Amino acid sequence: MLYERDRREVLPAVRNGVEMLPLNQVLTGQGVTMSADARGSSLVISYGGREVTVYDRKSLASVGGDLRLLSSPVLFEEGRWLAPVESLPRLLQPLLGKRVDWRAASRLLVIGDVAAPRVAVTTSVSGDTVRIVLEASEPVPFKVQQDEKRVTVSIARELLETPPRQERLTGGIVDSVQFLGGRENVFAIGLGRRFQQLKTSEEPARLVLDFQARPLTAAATPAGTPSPGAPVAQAPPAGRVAPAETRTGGLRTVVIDPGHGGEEVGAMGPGGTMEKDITLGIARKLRGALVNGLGVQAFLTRDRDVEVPLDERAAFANNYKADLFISIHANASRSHGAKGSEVYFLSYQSTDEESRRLAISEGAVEVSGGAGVAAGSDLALILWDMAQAEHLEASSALATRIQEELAEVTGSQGRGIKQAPFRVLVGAAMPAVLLEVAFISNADEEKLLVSEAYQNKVVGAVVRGVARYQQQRASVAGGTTAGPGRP
Amino acid sequence: MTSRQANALTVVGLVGLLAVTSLTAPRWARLLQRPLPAPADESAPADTRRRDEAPAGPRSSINVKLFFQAADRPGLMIEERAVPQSNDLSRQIKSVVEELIAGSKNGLAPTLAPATRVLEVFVTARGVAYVNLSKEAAEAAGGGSEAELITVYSVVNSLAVNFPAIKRVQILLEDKPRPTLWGHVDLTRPLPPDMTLLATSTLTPVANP
Repeated sequence: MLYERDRREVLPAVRNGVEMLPLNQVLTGQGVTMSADARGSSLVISYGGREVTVYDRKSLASVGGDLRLLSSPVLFEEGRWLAPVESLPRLLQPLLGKRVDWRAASRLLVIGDVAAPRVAVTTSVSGDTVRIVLEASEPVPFKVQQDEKRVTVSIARELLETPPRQERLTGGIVDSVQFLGGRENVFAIGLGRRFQQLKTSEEPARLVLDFQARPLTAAATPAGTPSPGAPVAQAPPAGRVAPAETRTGGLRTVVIDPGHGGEEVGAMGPGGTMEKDITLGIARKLRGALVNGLGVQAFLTRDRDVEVPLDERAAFANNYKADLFISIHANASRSHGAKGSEVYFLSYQSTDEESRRLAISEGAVEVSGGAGVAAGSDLALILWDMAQAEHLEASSALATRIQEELAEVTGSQGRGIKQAPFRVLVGAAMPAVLLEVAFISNADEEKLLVSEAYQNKVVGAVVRGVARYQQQRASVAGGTTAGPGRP
Repeated sequence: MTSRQANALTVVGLVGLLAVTSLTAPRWARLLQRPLPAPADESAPADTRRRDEAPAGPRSSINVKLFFQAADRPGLMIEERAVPQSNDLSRQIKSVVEELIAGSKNGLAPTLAPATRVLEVFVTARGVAYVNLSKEAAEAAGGGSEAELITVYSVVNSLAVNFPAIKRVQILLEDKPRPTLWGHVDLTRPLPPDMTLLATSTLTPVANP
């Protein structure tokens, strides 16, 4: 069936406290004919010889000649016919001759026969073991993958229903359990410091994961000191900053994001300098400095003058499994006096859980035929929104270190680390910061931004900030990162 | 007999209740009335109000705090002004955003292009206001992070401060959520206010050693 591949986001309108959906948007692609009478008092929707008639400001509809009662009146408003979400199945099922389901919990209007297994997740702790059980309403294929930081369970089904959840655990065995979604319906389990091994047992429709901890005493390696048996860190190659390798243990990949690009030029200075050019120049220099100075891999989200959507930039970093994401921008203000550098990390709404629930209940409603999460859909939105949540503390630490170093070279007073809901940081699944190097809108700073010397100073400061951040993380993490040596 | 008496009493009671209800009905109706954007209804309740509540006089106004760009430094500053009162929250919010678009009367800098129109405002039961703006809102040139934050939060803060029922605000452009205005601030979800964007001296006098 045509539209079973189609998953769309439709924004509900709220009238008198009732969520309404525009019928023409809901029915796009369903092959129905819609004709309103001249005065806009009624609308006839026909499909395959069947007819449904709805009336403006009436809670009654004629469905194939029978009158049906709706939960609230249909409204004709500025050319749109709004129908109460709850009543859509009652209206559309007989019309389309197929199942139409409103799943309030997952905000899905499912049109067509789409089997969506439900999956419940329960966690329990006993002694040194955390048990996580995934229980599905029907047999589903579980795929378990493990890397050093997390265990993921994916369920390759087109549509899955699961209560939106994000759970944090204490005790250091499992740190977090969350549903990331995506086409594969991924559940991610963040591993804690004390995690030692995973035992799984699978039955059809049920997966049991036992996370076992190493005994507490063994984990208590003094902070910062590598365990005696660990291989010695590789000698730094000639010409590199000597202590870098040891300082940056655990840091392998950095993704640098030169802001804006292509048609989207960003801000413009009074002298005509374009933000997109400044950001690319600094980002290229920073890549070189990170590779040579810290011996890490570094990638740019764009290495030429091209427009890249914001979400793709974070997705790029996620695909490279980057350890850090650094977005480079030049600021602009309507106030000409504005100057100085700033380092931002994402502002998450005060209570994550509440905002997420809000996002779910207030956000867009999907009309689904059953394909996986499409980009821009509501579900994708919510899950994407959670990516940065667990890295906020690290992002804040990274922002602080970079800003401290920047303040040294730029002498920026009064600005500093800040938080803002910057879209480019939202989807980054690693510590992520956005650097506003200086104000391009300020004539003096515009001149600085184009100067090689200033760009180099900024780059040097960022590299030192990253190195200090990593050093600090390594010493906090203690045994885990200092343990097995890395080539 | 007693049952008949009771019946009679009930009837009297009901008639009384009916009288009370119908006498106060316009008041109720106004409270319960909801948006349905049709400029025509505005005048109707206003007329009945004048007839019903003679002492209240013509339309009253409320004082609102509007957030504009500070003239001489980065950040937002507050300007107070009186706007006509409306019993409808969405309409009242619309009028506040329109005042923002109209700009400052005390020399603060504008945050929204003057050609911007407020297409619609709707408020949900959970305290989210959706402000649907025309495309002019995104047409300003040279939008850096600072300018973008100022524009977005001039709206968000103005609504959150004046209407305790509003906890978050989402700006839509031409009926649709847009990722951002100029490449920075996430507009895909409702935002809570951010008072850290106030220009520094409106919070504390400069006290740097």
